[in-house]
Amino acid sequence: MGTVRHVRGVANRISELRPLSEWAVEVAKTLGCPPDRCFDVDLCLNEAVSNVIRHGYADGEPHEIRVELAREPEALVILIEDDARPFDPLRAAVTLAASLDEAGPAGRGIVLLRSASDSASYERREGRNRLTLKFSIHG
Amino acid sequence: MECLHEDTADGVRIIRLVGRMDIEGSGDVAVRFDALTASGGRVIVDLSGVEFLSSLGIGTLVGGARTVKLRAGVLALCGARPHVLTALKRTNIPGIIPTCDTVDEARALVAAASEP
Repeated sequence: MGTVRHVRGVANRISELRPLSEWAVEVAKTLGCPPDRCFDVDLCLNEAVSNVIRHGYADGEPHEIRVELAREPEALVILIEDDARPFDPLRAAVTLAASLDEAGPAGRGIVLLRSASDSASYERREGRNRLTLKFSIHG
Repeated sequence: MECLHEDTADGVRIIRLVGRMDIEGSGDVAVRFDALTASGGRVIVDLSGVEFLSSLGIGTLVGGARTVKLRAGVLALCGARPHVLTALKRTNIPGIIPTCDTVDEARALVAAASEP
């Protein structure tokens, strides 16, 4: 039997983020994701998609971001696909400030994205960014 | 999202944030939060009502803490739920903003920090 994939397309608007979160958490639960992992799923999805919406497009035009959730035997997998400018959040250089005086507004989303998922991969294929995030689920 | 506050008799401002502190929630409270931190002094931000915290929300907290510090005050965070605290730790916030378990601990901390 093939893997069941849950897919949702969202417009590149901030107002789409909360409905997307609600949908993703519900799907994650039905796929056996425990509550603490659902928070990580919600957080990573929020950071990744809000990053695309806020920084990915310069044309002011509507775009669709595709989000897919699927269950592997020991992990929940999220694929986020968009036609925004090329950006690999896994390779972006980020340094967390060591003092309040040095703390700027940016970069924490990428840190959260990397640290709250168990593995992540990025590819640019046919003019689209494809970010895959895995969240281990045991039992 | 809500941003409530009380000023105690001993001169501590306690700000209570309630709701989902994502990009939308942070936008809801940003103006009020900025205004409440603008005068510096001893400030406690009670996060016990925050059910979700994204990087944008963390940025709001950092901005408030910087503003208070610039006015020679001190701001402490407290009451974060476990997953919210995890997000704070992953971004090294306890390393740059005092972060306590309870309001009482935060009160003791800001009192000690503001002693001459």
